[in-house]
Amino acid sequence: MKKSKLVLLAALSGLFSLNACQKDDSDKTSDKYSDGIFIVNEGVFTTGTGTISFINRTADSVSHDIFNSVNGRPLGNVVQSMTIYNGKAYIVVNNASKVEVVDAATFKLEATISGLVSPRYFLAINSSKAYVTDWAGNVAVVDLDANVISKTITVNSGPEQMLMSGSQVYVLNSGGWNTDSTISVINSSTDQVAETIRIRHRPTGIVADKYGKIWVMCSGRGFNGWPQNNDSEGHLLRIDPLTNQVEYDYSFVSTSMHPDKLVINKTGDRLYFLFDGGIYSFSINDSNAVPVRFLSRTNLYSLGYDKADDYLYVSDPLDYQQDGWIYRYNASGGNMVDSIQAGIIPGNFCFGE
Amino acid sequence: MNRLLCLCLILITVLSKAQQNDTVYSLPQIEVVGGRIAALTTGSYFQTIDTIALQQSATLADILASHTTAVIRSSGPGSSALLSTRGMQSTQSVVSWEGIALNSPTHGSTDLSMMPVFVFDNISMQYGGGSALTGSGAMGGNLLLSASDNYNQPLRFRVKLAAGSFSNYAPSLKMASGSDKLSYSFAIAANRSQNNFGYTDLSGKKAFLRNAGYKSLNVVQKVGWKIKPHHLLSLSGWWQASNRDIPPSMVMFQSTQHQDDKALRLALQYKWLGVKSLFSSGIAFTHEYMRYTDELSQTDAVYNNNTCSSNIGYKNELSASTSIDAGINAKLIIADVPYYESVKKQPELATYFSLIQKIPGIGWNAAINLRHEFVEGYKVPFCPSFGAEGRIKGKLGGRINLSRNFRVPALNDRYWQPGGNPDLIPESSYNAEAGISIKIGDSSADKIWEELVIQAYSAWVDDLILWVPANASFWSPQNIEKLWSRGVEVISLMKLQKSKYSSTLTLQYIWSPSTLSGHADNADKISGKQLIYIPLHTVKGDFRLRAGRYLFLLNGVVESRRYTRKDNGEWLPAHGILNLSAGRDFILHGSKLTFRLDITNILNSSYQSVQFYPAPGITFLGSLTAEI
Repeated sequence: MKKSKLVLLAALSGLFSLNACQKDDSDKTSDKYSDGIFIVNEGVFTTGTGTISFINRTADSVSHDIFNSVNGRPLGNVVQSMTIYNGKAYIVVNNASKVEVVDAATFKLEATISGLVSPRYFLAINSSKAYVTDWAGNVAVVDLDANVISKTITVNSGPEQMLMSGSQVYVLNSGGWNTDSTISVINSSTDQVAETIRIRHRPTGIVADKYGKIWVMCSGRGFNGWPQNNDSEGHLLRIDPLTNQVEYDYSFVSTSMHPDKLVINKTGDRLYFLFDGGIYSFSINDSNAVPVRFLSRTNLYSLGYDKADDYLYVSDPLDYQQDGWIYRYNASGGNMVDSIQAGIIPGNFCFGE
Repeated sequence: MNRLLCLCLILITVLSKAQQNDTVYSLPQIEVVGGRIAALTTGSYFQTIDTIALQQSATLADILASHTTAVIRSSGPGSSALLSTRGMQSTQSVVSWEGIALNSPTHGSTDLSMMPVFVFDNISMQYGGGSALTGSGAMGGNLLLSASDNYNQPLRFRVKLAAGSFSNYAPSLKMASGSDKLSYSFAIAANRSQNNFGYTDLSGKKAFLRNAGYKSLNVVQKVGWKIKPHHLLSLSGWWQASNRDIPPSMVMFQSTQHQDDKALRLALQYKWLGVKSLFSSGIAFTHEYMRYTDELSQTDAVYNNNTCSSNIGYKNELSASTSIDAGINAKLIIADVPYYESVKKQPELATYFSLIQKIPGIGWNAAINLRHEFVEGYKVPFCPSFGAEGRIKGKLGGRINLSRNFRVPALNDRYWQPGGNPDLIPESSYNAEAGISIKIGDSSADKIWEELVIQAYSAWVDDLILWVPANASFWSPQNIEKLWSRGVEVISLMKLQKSKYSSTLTLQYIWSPSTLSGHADNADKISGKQLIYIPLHTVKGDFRLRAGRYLFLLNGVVESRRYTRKDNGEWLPAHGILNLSAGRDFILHGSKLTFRLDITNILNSSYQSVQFYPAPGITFLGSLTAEI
């Protein structure tokens, strides 16, 4: 009896410990992160934390969860995007309702921008001002000197990516949890919405070509693989920033397959996007061009383009609960360069300023 | 199928009417649902929660986590708490009250967080496969809840007032009485808490949980009526209402999520009792309402489920060593969920037969159960089970149980838009377990009495349903995995009684490897990995001392690391919590008053039960109970 009590006490008293989530990763280095590619890993949707992986071009090595390694705490749930500007990296963390500001070279935390609801993307306007889209239906104006929100600009629902053309900022209103089909054009000098352009359903990607024309990918209403009666087809649009008129509209016809993730190459004349189980490309020079299948690969989640190496980066999140993979392809020839393991749900890329 | 179901419901009613005119014999003891299952699951391991634990102002989740070999996956007080038994998923255990399965027809699990132990008289857990008896979902275990009958009992009241940390208030009342004709019990328990406990956030700063308050109300009533000496009628009802804010995780800034739940459960049971036979029939109705709102995502969704079920059964003792049990169960589920294309109906029908046999010569009891269930849209496997138990030699007992089990996909798996998969097939499993028990000493007063149980189990689950990404936009459930859950459980019970002192010490060790396999993708790293949130090693200890009018309880749980990712790349470290309770009884004018203090997590351990959801540190709850 006495022996049993001792066993109980030993068992109960010896194993109480302070806990923090641990990761099977031995990356404790103080790497500099000045020459490479950042992979934005979203993390498990509701319960996990996102991470940033770094591919060092020089050393040809990969470091994982670098924010946690440098700053001693996880980024939060869900890491949506990352933008480097003026030597600082702005990491937008969606469910954590914040933007973490770190030194882009050391990743040491400098500030946290709070007061957001559901932030998505960051766009620097000048050295003292930036915009952050927020699914609350606005664009937050950030004072970059103080790293605080100075005001908000009301736009339509579910604002996503932005593009600056001259003094105008084009904000894609995707609809968030629903469907929108507008672009809010903000005058960045006055921080006022100058115009709202009605386009196609669910705009999700925006780039500018070598002529300054704006290309917008509208994914259409609906989900890939789940056709419903009221689904709409995707469209690729070209907008003239001088008139803000849609001057080209390509319809993908199919209402069951939705194009997504628009990028443009370094010469500004070829678009790439995900569609129908692969990557498609589109030449802007040919007035009669149609999108052509560039390569096939299933289960792709994100797409990026690295101007330095002329590589396309695509991610495969596997089952969205374990570390996903990045595949690099030569953007000219389409041959695969290599594959790299990333974090959970690699959802975005950041290729520097 | 609907017509067939209606026919069965009518048939059951007609048969129960006809049975009333049969010859009757003397009245045997009334049998509750749990009793029937206990007899037929010969060879299975049972654990029963005793009344000392029941007196705590705790939820079922708290009690099961500390007193049984089960694992509870909870995001914290007030948040959903799901039961996992024998290393299985929460959908693979059944929770039943008065014979009604409580598992949600839409998602397949049962939330135990808003169910106070106070309102139940009997709580027991049957481990291992039980589909041959209770049907879908009973692959890892079956939690049985019920109220006792109170025939020929004086009027008794128990009033309890409890208050504690984080503005937690829990008043409750229970009364029971009965004559030789009537039995009545009533219990009501309310609870509310701001649940704004402090914790250390991920940057090492002190923070307080926000948007975490909850309140609940449970009312349980049971009326029994001996219409005639051999004709018994009972009506049980349970009204449950709760509303709770859903807190953000530690990696989220805020949460505006809120959930309201209401449930009404009614069970009407008729029994005809003969000398060697028992005829029973009953009908049950369950209505469940849930409203989920989230200001941030602009969500406002209302779910309504209605379930009607009916059963008819006949048990006969053919001889001193042989008895049979057979019957039919019918069920109709109607679910109105905003994410389904339309209101969905699912009729189910089951037939079962059981043979209970004493094996001559060795004195063992054996049971064979056969069950065939018909569910519209599915081919459900035929489920047999075999169990035997008895004395091996002297004080050494043994038991063995083999069974085939299944789980029909939940309605969300089938109809949720987007992603619901109408082509799913039911999960199926083969379960095997064996155990020995050794009794040392005897149970008479002033003696040490000890029982040691050692058991091993293994379950092979095929066509495991997991939600996996269909593409970048949504997930869809697939029958893509296999689960192999096996383990060893060692349970030791020691008792010492010396004059006015009595003490018990229960120690439990559970080794529970539970691994996935069968995924086709070569890049996938989950094959052979431990299932998330299932600890490989668990030790639980419970020490109780009663000295005259003083009561002292010490309870602790230690769990090894729990993986939070399917590839086992991340985990929550091993942790333990220790709970302490102390109380004193007073007798006042023939009534008993008990003052009690419950201290949870007395070492103020900082831990997470679910990743990034903090658990509270040291928590106090004081209570005064009057038993009249």
